[in-house]
Amino acid sequence: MLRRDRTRLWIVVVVVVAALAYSWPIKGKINLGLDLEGGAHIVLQAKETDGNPLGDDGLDRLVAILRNRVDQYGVTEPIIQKSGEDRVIIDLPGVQDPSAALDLIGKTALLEFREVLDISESPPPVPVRGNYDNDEQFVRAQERWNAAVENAKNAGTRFAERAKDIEGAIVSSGEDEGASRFFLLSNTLVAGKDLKDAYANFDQWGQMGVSISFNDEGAQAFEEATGRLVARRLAIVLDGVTISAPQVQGRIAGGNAQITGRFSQEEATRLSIMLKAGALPVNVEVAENRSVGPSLGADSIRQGIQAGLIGAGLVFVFMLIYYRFNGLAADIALMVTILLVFTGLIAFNATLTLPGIAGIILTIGMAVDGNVLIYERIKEERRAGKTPLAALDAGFRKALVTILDSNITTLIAAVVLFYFGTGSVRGFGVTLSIGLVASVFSNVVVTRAILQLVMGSKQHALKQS
Amino acid sequence: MTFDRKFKFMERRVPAMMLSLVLVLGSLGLVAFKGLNLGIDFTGGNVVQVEFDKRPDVGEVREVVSSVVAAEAIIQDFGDKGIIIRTHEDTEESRGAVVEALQGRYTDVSVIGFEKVGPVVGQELRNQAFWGLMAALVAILIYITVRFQFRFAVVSVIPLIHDAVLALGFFSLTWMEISSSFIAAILTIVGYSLNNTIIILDRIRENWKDLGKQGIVDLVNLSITQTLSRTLNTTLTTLFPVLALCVWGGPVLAAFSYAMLMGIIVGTYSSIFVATGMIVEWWLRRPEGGK
Repeated sequence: MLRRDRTRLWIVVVVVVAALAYSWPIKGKINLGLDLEGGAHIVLQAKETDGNPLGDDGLDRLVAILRNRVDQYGVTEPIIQKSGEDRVIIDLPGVQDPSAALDLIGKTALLEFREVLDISESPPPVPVRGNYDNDEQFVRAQERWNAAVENAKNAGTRFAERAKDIEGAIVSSGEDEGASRFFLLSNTLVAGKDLKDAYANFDQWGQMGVSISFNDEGAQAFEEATGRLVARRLAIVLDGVTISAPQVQGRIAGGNAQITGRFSQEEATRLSIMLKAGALPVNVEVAENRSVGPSLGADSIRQGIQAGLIGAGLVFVFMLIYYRFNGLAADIALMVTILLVFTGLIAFNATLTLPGIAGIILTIGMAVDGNVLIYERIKEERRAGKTPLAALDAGFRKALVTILDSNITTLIAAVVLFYFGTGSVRGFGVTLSIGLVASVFSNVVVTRAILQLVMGSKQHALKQS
Repeated sequence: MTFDRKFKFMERRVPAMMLSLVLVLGSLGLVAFKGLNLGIDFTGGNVVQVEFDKRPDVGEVREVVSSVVAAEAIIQDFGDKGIIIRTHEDTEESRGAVVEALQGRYTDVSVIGFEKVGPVVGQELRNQAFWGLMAALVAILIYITVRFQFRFAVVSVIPLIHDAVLALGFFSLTWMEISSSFIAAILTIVGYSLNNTIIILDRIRENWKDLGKQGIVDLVNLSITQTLSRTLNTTLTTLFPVLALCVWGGPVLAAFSYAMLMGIIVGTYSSIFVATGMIVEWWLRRPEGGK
């Protein structure tokens, strides 16, 4: 065996082992598109309103408020992203009832300022084993922590009892502490519709803060509230969740105020976005809403796998019958291609969609094309009177140009598909591209390694005898 | 090296090209006069997929649905227990009304999926599809011009347009729905057909040095013959999975599968006759300028 052949063989072994190690077990590693997993794909179109141009950060605000809402809905791994200049895409995997999700998402954000009547204790930090001398202390700390969490929950129930007796009062959970800190709040003192602007900036002591300004009506209500609540807390409530409850330093007249605290820049920016989101009644319209139940998705996967297996089986048998031993090499190469396609899907974190499955099935048929080209070439070279090994070499060399030309042109189409497409069409483009690259590798490297290995040892055996 | 066997494809180039012309014109005619069954991805509207324990008659469902929608809805069987309802109204309310009407009439109905697309999205998708195809064609033209020569680039792109038009004609004829995955299907057909064409052109380029000795007709015939078993084998191996997809792939992929099936057949034909026929005609008329 030549050194070149040995290198090729090693490459194949390393790639296959690495791919297997990376993608095995495959279950759960591939992202399934919503059309397979079930869930809702919603595209919202933001509309400008009078005096509220959408602007650059308008969409940021919309995304912030949507994220806030979706978090409340309790969806695992939602995707919320801007699309273009005026759209937001929301993917909610596993959501059974998209109309309910839509109701939640679609309503206008509600921002309010309310007086804080009572606050439950802040929950202690979760105990970390490293901070304790021994297990016993750590277990006790955990118990204390559990009790505190339980206590906080009870506080929520107690507040709810009290709220019944106070006109307009609500119980609100704190945002950052999860649901374990509760606020008992008075009726609405100032509503978000009267908020004009909010932005993060530094106060005179160089601390990060959030400046807010109100319109006339808001300014009046805010002055009245702050005058009455000096040294007490005023809660900023977004959709019923207290996002901040700063202490009022003094009466604030004129409609401009500043919220200070120990904010990091990100926190301040986020708070300002939340405030603006609540203040800005962005009109959203549902541009697109697709939803697939989990049963339909499961059906599609089952049928896709079935079709794929049968299709691959037919290709396997055909190659074996038509090309005999060489066909076996092509079949092994095909298996490597399929393995590499799945590994590629995992590595690129691609989302497998229904057209993507179709793309993989099609790849199976087209993957052996390279082998067919090579084998037909080898046959020609043999007919021209070359020795098996020379024919093999010439066959591979001549077919390589053709394989590259034909695959690169198809790759161009696949990349364009990815670039111009959206959603499932995009998934198809990715799958097809990965499939093309994987099949060229398998054709040129894997098949060759197998054939050379066998041919080489045959020749060797001939010489020996 | 020459073969004893050499099929006389190019002697039939004129009838083949006439056939192609008729098919292309027929397809364009169908699209122009009969139109295309554009899915809601393109037109905007609502699709509701429902499943029943015991599926009622489609006509009965139509009555229930037509009481709540203005324009006529399209009602189709789907799988064993399912029904697909398409309406032209693209509002959430309209969809809600359809679902409510069904739930009011049947107790065993469950919504297993729906799609709602606004008209703007459809418009954008149409633009995307068009520009996507254009960009792909231009990129391919450039690549082939660099790798081969301009003449080859032009004749390899024409079968693609030929195939895409025939695919459209096929969809118009069968009135199958054109959804967003149809764009993927068309581009795959284009990719497949191109693959075939390039392999034959590659061989023509390789044999080009014997042009003076053989003449263009024989040279092309020889090149097609030399690659013929490859063409047929690859067509078969690609046909197997696509057939499996048609038979077992399930209703959701049905339109996609049939488009692919048709594309493979047309794509194989066009790469044998159309691109090669054009290169022969072109050469016979204006031999100068080529390499």
